[in-house]
Amino acid sequence: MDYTNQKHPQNYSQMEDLKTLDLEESVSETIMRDLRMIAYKLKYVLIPKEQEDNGKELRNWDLWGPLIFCLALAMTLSFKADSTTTSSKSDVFAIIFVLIWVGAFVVTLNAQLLGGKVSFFQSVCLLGYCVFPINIEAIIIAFIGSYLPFVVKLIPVIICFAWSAYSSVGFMASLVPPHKKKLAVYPVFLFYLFLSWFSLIV
Amino acid sequence: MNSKNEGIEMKPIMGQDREEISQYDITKAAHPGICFFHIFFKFCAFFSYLFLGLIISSTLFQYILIMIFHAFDFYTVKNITGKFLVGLRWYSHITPKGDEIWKFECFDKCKRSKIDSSVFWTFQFGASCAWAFFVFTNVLSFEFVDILFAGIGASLSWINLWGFYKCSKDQQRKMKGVQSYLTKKGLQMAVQS
Repeated sequence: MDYTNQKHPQNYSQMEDLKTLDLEESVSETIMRDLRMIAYKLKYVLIPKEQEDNGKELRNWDLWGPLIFCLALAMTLSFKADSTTTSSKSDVFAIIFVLIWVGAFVVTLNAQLLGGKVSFFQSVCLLGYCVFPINIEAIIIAFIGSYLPFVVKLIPVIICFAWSAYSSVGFMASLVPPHKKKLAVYPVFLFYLFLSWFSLIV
Repeated sequence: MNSKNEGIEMKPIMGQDREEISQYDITKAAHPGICFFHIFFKFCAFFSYLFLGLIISSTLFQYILIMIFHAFDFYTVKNITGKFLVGLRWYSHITPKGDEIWKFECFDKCKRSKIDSSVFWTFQFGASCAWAFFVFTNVLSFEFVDILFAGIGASLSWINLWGFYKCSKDQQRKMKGVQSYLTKKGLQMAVQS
């Protein structure tokens, strides 16, 4: 783990000059700017052609995107859950919520322990954004899943799982030493596999 | 006689009360709307945590609303309220090498209203302590789901409090820096003349 928590960074005044414009920004501009950043990062993470430099744009991490997708997935799956007992719906919500954040934390910790030099929040941010395909798949299955046989439902699940895993693996693998790549990548696969499977069976 | 004495004694106390009330008089704040939202989302989060179960029977909607209010409160305090009410900002910056630097900044240019700052700090600190208290009581009574939501509220509130506290230390350091610079200049001028 290689962190430097500098109290007096060299380009402090530079950054402050650039960001003093923030003071004049109105509330709606701030919100729109953040929303645009989330949309841009989403496009960057999920569409492989957009990635010129792996992880460069992710330097400006934010956890709002992952929160939105986590909430959306938890809400989709809990609405769809067995409606005979109301307690199970809220359980599903809490489970998914805790699962995504604790899972992202554990996967990041694993990458760091393997000697990967990565900012904790940057990695959690990436893993959170890559949950978006699973969101799509959960919504598809929620709407039309009851009319389709199980095998047909598997198709969007597998496609979205592969999409999530592919998007995140590239970044995670670049963080650790080459001989430990598989060790770092394996938990990521597990993480998305579990989420996809959970969204299928709930 | 006693009542006359009491009448004389009460006056200074009442004067004191009036000063204290005016410190929290939102109508006289520089940004009343933003003060309102600073308090509003915290209030909504506490209300939905404590009382929403009495209004909505579905626990799922309770959980969803609590999470949404926590998120709104954190975002509002960090990005909007901190900037307008106390002129502070904190964030993380990652250098090209991959090192993460936390920056705590204060805006020199904005005029800080005393009412705004007192509203900001009181409610942030009060909310943080209240959530910590709820976490404590939930841990003692082993209510795990409540621990989750109170815990999230507590951690988000304390993170914001810590961030802005570090910013205000930076602000104090800057003020001291300005003061020492001015005194140095004053001494130089005195010596020259």
